Amino acid sequence: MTTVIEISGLTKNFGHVRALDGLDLAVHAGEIHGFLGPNGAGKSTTLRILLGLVRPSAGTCRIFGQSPGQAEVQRRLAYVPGDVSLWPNLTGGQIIDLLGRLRGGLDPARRADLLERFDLDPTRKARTYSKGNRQKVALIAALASNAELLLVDEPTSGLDPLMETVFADYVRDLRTEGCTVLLSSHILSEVEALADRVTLLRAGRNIETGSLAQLRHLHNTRVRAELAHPRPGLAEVPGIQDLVETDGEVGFTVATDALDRAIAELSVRGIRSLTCEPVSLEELFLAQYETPAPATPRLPEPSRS
Amino acid sequence: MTGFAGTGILLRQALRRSRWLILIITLGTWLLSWASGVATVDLYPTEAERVLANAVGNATTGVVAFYGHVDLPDSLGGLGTAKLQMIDFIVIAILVIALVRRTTRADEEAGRTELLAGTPVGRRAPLAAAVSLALLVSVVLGLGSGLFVGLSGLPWTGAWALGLAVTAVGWAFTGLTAVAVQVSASNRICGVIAFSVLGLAFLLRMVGDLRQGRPGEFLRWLSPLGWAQQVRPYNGERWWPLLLTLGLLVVSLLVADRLLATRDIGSGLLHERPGPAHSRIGSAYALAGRLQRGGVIGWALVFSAMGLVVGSLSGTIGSFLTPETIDLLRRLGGAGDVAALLTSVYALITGYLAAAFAIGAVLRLRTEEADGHSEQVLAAGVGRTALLLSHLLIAVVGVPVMLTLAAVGDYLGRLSGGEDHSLVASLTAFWVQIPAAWVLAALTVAAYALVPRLASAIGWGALTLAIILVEFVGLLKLPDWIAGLSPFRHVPKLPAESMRWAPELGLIVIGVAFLALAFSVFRRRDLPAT
Repeated sequence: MTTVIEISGLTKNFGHVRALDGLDLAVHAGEIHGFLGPNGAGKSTTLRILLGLVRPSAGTCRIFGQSPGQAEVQRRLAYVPGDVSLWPNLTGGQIIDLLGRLRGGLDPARRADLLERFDLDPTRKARTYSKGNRQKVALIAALASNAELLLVDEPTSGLDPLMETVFADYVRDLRTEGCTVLLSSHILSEVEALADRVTLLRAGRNIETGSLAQLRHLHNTRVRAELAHPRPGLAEVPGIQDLVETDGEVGFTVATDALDRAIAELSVRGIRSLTCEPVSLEELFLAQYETPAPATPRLPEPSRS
Repeated sequence: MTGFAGTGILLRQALRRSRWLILIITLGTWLLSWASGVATVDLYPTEAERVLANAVGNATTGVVAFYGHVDLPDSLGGLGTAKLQMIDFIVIAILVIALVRRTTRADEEAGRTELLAGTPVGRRAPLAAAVSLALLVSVVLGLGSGLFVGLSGLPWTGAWALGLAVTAVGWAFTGLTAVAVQVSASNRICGVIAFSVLGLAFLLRMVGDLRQGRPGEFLRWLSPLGWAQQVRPYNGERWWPLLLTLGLLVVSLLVADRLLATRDIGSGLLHERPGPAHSRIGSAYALAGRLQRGGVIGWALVFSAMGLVVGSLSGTIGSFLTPETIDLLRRLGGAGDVAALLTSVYALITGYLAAAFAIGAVLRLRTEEADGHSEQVLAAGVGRTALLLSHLLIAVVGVPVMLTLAAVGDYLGRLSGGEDHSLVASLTAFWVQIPAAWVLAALTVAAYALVPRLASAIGWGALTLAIILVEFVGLLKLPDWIAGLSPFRHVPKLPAESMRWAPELGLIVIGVAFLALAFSVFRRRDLPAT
């Protein structure tokens, strides 16, 4: 399994603001990799370094085994920026073609299909587009290209749910064709639905990496059940936490390896209805970021003048 | 009248935002006014000398075209104040256009005006604040210039006339820009409209001056610059032309207010038309060409028109050329016969314009980066060097093209005026300006690579300095080495003088050095600059 992106110990200082603090990241070929973190965690900076726009202060960064910014590397990837800014006097169609040609090729059939599915009018000048439409232009230009690697920064933040679905479908299609995707997003449901593996970023460092299954394994499942013959004793079952019992309805969280025992205890009491939810990415996210950071250096507050 | 709520706050904020621009230009103009005044007093102490100098000025086409006539034969201010006046007019017009645009259109485009829509700030407030700022700055800059001219020793009547004239130009163009802002659909087009009006005003005044005493002189009265010029400081002062500018201000503000009421915030009166759905742009060079296409065409028209107009009028200037005047002319612009002298003076001024074109073309790199476009182009596989070259090429190739257009226009114009003139003389006189324009463009590119936030200030500042150093070197008695900082000082004055290759090659070498620095630094810095 080849590693398309290899980042190790990446550090970047902007003056005395430390945007990245020893980040490690590895993205394997053909996977969709989610890149999560709060505002200011360093996601956009990492993407900029991958694109060769910004030089790291320390650490290594390799794409396709080469250093970022080379023309051959750029031709093999496509980038969708977080805040899309378009040339106001060119039309959407012109910009899509322009970006495609600069990259070295655009699939015309896919371009036409994307224009239709995203419902974008390519004859309008870019300054008349809303934020969502501007994003669509950048997305279409990237999705229609023949890139092997897609770097997307908040791709659907301005799109409505219909268009989000269109985007998700396309990304899955691309993955079956062997494309690698690095997806930086705040929209956790989308990352949850699409990503194979996820990296959680905080204050410029990687705090967790793994597939969602692996991450979930470290966390609990939430169980709700309606019992026919409630009996005390559930609280003593090892692994069951946050137990709430009211009128024959019980709710608790349980570690994944204690799940078997917990369900057994429930079925003894007669299960009328049962709901099991693995912890959502949102809860994972909040759990990680709500607690104050440990001794790792935080981004200093910008001084007010 | 409602809708002005919040004007005071916006005015203070606009002042704060543009404080450096206003401060530097105002102080610079005051300094220039004072220095010119002092120098003028000393330059021709006897009346006879003054009369001669003024006559020579009036006989030189290039001088009249750019600065106008000296109407009183023994005018105390003479050529010095004529020069100062015209330069002040242009400086204040440009400043005022910039101030009004910044606070209105630019803000609308960036969405900042929309932010205000959620506050009690009135609908008229942004325009009112912009206009108030521009009017106030005009008064301060204009009257201050008058004050410094008076303090330098020239008579006070003329000084105040000059100050009021400068203020009047500022006021007139405030009104005109306020209207332009309502009409155009984007900040860039608004700028094009405003500067085209300025250019047209200058052209009308120029033609009026060149046609003095003949049919066509009335054209000067169609231009706010002409009205302000006709206040005639030190030339038999008249005060009533000021009323014309005041009238223009009032009328244009009323028009602008009416237009503001009828349009949507964020758009102009000219609505969007659909465009093509496909594009064949496939390289950074093609993109740069497409982006700069409009600007290049506009400039080409300007250069051609200027060439034609001044060329056709150059032969009609009175031949009041006694041996003394010819002698003075030589001192003004080098040796050689008079016709050649006129060509060289005119070519120099066109050289200034060519440098302005080149700097503007190169500064497009900065706006592309600030707007977030360059990063997408770089991310798509265009190299840093290619990006830099793509816009630089337009400047480098464009300068010779523009100068050729002006030269051909000049030749054709003179031909139509019945003058016997050599095309080669015109071409060489204009081509000789190329390295000067190139080196200023190269400096701007280096500034963009090193300190992108200051690139615009450095580029335009360098050009302004280069022009002032050459135009005022005699008047202010500047030492040679200071004047030598200006590339235009080193340009041989063809066809009056003979060609000197050394300074031209020297300028090119310096330009190449700037470029080498720019390319190596640009490859390494972060983009966008932080």
